[in-house]
Amino acid sequence: MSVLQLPRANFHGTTTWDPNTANNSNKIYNEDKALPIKPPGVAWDGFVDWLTDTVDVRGGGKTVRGGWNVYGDHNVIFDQLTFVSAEAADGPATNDPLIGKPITIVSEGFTDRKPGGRLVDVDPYGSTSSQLFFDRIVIGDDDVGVTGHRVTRMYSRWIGSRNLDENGELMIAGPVGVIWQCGLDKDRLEWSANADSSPTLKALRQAIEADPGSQGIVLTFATYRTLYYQTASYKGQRLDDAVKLSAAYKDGFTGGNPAVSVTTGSLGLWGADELSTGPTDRFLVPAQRGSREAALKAVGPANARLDESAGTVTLDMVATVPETDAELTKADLGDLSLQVIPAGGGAPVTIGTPLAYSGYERDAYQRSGGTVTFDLGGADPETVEAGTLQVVSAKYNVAILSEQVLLADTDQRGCYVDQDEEREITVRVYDRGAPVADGKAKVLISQFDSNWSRMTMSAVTPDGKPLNKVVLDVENGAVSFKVKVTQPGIVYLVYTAFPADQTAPVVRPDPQIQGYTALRGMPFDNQLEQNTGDDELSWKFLYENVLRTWDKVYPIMSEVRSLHTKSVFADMAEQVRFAVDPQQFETGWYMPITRDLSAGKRKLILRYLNLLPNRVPPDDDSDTQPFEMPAERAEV
Amino acid sequence: MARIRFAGIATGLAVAGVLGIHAAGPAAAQNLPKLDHLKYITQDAKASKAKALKRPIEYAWDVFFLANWPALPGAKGRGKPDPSKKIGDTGGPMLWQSWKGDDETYPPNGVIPGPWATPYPVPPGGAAKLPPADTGDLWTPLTGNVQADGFDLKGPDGQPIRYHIRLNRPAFEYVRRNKLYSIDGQISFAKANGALDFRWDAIEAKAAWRELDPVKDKDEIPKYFTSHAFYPQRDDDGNITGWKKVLVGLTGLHFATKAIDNWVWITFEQVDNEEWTGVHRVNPIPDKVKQYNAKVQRLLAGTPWENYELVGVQTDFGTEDDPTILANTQIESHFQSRSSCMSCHGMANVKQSEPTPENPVRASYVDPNHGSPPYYVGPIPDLPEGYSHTDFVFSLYRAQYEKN
Repeated sequence: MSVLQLPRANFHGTTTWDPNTANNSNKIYNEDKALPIKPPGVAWDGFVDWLTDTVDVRGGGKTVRGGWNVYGDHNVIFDQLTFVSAEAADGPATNDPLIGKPITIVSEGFTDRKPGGRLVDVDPYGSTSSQLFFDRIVIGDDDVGVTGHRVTRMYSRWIGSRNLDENGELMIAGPVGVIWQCGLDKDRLEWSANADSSPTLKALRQAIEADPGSQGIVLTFATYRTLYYQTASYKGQRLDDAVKLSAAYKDGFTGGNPAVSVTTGSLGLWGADELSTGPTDRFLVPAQRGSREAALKAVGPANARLDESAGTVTLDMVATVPETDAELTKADLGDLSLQVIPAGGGAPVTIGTPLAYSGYERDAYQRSGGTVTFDLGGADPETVEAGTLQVVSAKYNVAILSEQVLLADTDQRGCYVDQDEEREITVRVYDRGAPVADGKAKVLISQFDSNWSRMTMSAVTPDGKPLNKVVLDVENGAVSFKVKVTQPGIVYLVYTAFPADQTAPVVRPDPQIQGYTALRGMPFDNQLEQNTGDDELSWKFLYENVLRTWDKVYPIMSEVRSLHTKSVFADMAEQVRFAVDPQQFETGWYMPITRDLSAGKRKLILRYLNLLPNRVPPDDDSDTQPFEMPAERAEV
Repeated sequence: MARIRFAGIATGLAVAGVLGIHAAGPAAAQNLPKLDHLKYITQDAKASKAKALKRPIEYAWDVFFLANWPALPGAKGRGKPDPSKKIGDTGGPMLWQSWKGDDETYPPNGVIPGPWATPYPVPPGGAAKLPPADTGDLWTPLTGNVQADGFDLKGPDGQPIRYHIRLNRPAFEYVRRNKLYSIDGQISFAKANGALDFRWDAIEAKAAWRELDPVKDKDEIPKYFTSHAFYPQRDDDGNITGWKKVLVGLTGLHFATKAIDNWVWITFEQVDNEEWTGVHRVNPIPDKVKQYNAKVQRLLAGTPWENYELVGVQTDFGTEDDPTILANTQIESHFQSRSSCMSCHGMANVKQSEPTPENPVRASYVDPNHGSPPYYVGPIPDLPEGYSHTDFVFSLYRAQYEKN
């Protein structure tokens, strides 16, 4: 199923991202130890102020030392994201009441305010491990719509520099695009009262009910052309550059400075055996990444699905054709032909009519969510089914996409492993969009460092063997293995599927097209916990060894509730105990939002809470007294 | 979707009730209830239960009237209404203010509290010069500035709303007699007896106070019931660096009475809270309550109480699909949509054995299974094994461990 079959609804708008950026720097934050790095000459009391200084950028200009969003809170909002078109089971539903209605993302929260999603990187230094935690997606509204709950968090995929930025208008990650996908659990869909007045939603509901293998609803969307310094203001002034932002911080500004991405996507039926977090249809990968033509080099992947009964092949090109500028003008690649190379070889067969530029230019793209349907025309369905697809650019006379027949990928794209902990990871393998048959494929597991440049050995099997160059046989469409870490830090486990009758290929790690798990070995703090007696577990000890990381590197937390104030922490004891519980890890309640609390330090927090209110040992250099009302008394 | 639901309203709301009210304006003060009409609240279990269930709005205002009856002066007057006074008289503590404070009931290090009739606490260094207050020479100790959800509510001057809890004599004596003033005592009691069970006439009050600046807030002060108050100032490490003595205005007032087994939950607010403390009321006050409030407020004209309104009364959990919701904007500011006094307090508990980090002294009152904000509404689940209910009384959480 997936968004490549009907019914389908397409949406377009923007997403705002408000991540904290201070932990992106290895000069500020030690990723292995999850500790702030205090430079000589800077006092802890001045650390956050130091983060808000401007610093020179190589090549000219200024930036804020802690990045473009020192006070970000990781909130993500689907802002002005609305349905722009809909297709019911039998085609376009131009009057569907869903069109124009919003799509929103909601997380769990501690107050009546409904937070959006939470953007958290497994690897804070890197750009290939973004996760979007959320509770539910609200499609439409209380009148016409459906609310669906997550199965797991979302992950960014297919990262690439998709905007050519020919006018030099974009900064930071402005040209970069990614896609996201989420499956919404079939058993927890809440349909609005008049959901059936939408032909698309009605068809969706009927399709889910009719297909016992259906898993629910799936959304696939691209976020791209990100603009920075667009949203924050202070004392009536727009904070549209780093110098103004820094000055505002110095003057007391503690708000977020969210970035804004254009967002385009589709929703459809989540079919059996499909991943929740990534597309598993036939996978077409960029074929001209070495090209000197910027437009060809920037082409992104696509998915395809043959619908034999409808006599069509549908392509999801939501991340395929690059934009040339901040106005989102689509690169003109000329007519695009979908072709199939027959399994037995021979000349490519063109499927249907080539797609003219007018079919993928900006407005058409945004209106369709990037999906394009080709009639088979004279192409034989069996040839299309068994052959290898490609997309050819008439303007450049080259294939810009070619099918990668085997795909290995996982819903566990982000994984946190504590000291001495074992985690099981399952990787699913697909052959032209369907689960691969037993005996037909194997999976090679490779392991790379956080720069994707060097092989590492710190992710190991439970018996200590490095999970590198390990080959596993596929059974029932998947491989599963257990992993431990020998040291804290980031590694990427990269999965490559290859035919079972061939030798394992040499892997060139490629985060745009390969399935992988960003695995974070959490700080090894078990010894710290074990070596700390209750008589040493004072407030000062807890703050300096545990809480200071988030108080200093993630300062918005202390703007909400002060992490450096003993009484405030004690007053939040009930909520802290709840929020650090690993059972809340997938939820919006989990703390710290950055998800870098080790098991050892979690235990120290729980032990400290257990000593409240008056078994906490005094600080070495303080004369802390419990709250004691005075003995003096009076007649009134 | 939860809705506000007041048990008993449909079966027996009598707007006039005990008040026999028809007149309005200052002259109507004589129609306010007499003390004798209110004594049933602490002397007649059957009548209290019946009225709480059948005419909850009227019962709630009766509790308000009794609790805000001026108390007899001095330590010996604590817990006793002054029959020579009437509702609206000021110049000393009201009856609820003469009850034992949480500071007095749960002393530091779990030591036994003094007996009932001890003199009122005064701030260190003695009284400060402040504008006159409705409570005369009484000094209200402000013992908390955080709500049940761990957040605070900042008033318009940036100062947090501050809180104080008081227990009437039956509640206090139950705590004292059963050694519940320390965590150790609570654990021992639970181990030996299981759940706590306060007497039917136990009452707790929780008051929310806002600091008032005599100059900046001079126009607002007359619309508050005021008191002198004090609280400690601390550094980040918890060390007391001084004591602040201030004029405060009452913004919210909870009462919980054990007229029924699950207690009756009553809450009042100052009428200008939304404007002056900047908190949006999520759940509107039901029309029937508003109508009754309007009549009572006319009778209270010319007294500090004319600016206070009943927000609601809760006498049942409701159901899972239709839970009873009740919130005070000053005390449950940030989780009003999922605030059920009875459900949340129903989770009050203590462990029957020495706590461990994995199994702390209290099982959580945070609900992970039913949405946000994560607090129980509707019927509540069983406690984990090894924990006992503390009869809906959260003030017991103010207790400390005994120090050897």
